[in-house]
Amino acid sequence: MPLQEQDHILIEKYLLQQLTAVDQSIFDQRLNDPDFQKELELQKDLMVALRAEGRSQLKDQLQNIEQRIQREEDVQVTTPQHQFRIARIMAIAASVALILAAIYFFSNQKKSGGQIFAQHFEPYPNIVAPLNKSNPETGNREKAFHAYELKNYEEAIQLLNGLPKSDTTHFYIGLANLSLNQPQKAIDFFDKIKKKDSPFYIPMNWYKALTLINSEKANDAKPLILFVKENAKTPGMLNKANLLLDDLD
Amino acid sequence: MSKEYAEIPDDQQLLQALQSKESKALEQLYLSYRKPFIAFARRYQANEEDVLDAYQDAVIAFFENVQTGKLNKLSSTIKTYLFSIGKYKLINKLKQNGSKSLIDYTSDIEAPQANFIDDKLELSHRQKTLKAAINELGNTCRELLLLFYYKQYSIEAIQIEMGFKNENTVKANKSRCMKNLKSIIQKKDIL
Repeated sequence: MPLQEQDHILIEKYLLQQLTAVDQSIFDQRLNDPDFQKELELQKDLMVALRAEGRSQLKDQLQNIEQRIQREEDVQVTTPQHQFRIARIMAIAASVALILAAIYFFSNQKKSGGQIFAQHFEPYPNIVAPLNKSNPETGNREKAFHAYELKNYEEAIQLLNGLPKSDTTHFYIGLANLSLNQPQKAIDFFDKIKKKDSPFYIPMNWYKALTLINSEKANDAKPLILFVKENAKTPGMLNKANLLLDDLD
Repeated sequence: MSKEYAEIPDDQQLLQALQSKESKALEQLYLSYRKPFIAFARRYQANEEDVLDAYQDAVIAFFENVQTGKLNKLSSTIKTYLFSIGKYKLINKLKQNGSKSLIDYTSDIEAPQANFIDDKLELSHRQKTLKAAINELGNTCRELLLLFYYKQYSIEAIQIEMGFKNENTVKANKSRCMKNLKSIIQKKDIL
């Protein structure tokens, strides 16, 4: 018999180990159905595949953290190994001087804002109305976000402007302008997002910071990146903020 | 040395941070015992790359066990868990590389806890194809499915994490992503 919505829920609960005693007995009965069994086997394999994918992502994340630590340690190696017994305060002063010297040294070889931007910029995904090629939707909202996803930024801006104004439209119009190399317009739209509890507030700060860096205004960008770092919702975001700060220093 | 990895947070705090899916928890966990593990592993005369690789796998195994609820109460310190998994992974790695210095340490090879350690996933052909299909999904779908099935986030936690409008949008997107994935799989002819 073809699978029902209920069967999918049952399989999902099984995979997440959330079956109740009642669920379990229904589950056991359903195992007699070859279609149910087939779907269960597929979902089990899918769980393994997702675990493998999840693990490789975590591994990448830890390796990024590791690279950052190694870079920090490399800087520390420049501290002299043997010093005379001088007052602790003098040692600290010396380290500070060394770090300042290191910063001075590295700042002479600093990358341009444009280079840093190119290295750190990734387009923000369309999380509002993901494109579904097999089932295209025709509402203006969908059209606007699909244009954005397909990188038709001019069309996206035009369509987004036709939608009711919200933090969502402000954010994506800002992003589209950023991609069209219109930094001032991008910042104007980012600045319209004022509510700190908006889901776009943290991403907006990130992209505003990148816009400023691309315009060689790294000093204005730093407080925004620090804000993102302090409020990062994912380890990935935190790591990105740390890497960007490293590049600016 | 920067402050963040000089201080080792309290085990309970760290466990709670991991359980409540706090973004900095994984990094905190990693940094907390990284140096002690490197020092501990010196006795095995392994190169640093292998040591770090084993430690990273240990952190991932511990993280997974907390995320999936297999481990919800500590019966020993986090350090003990990480070191026993890390040691197990490192010794296995050295064995694979045919290291001779191992003989002295064979008594150290007791698996941490039978069901606690999850060795390298050996994927079947179909599982490999499924993994490739997951990679063909858009970023949003991939992240959503990973959060739900791998990290076992609740719908509400996903809404907050990914900035969706409400829980219904998350559910609608989840079933749409699953549909997308199935249509990719169908083309691969492994059903």
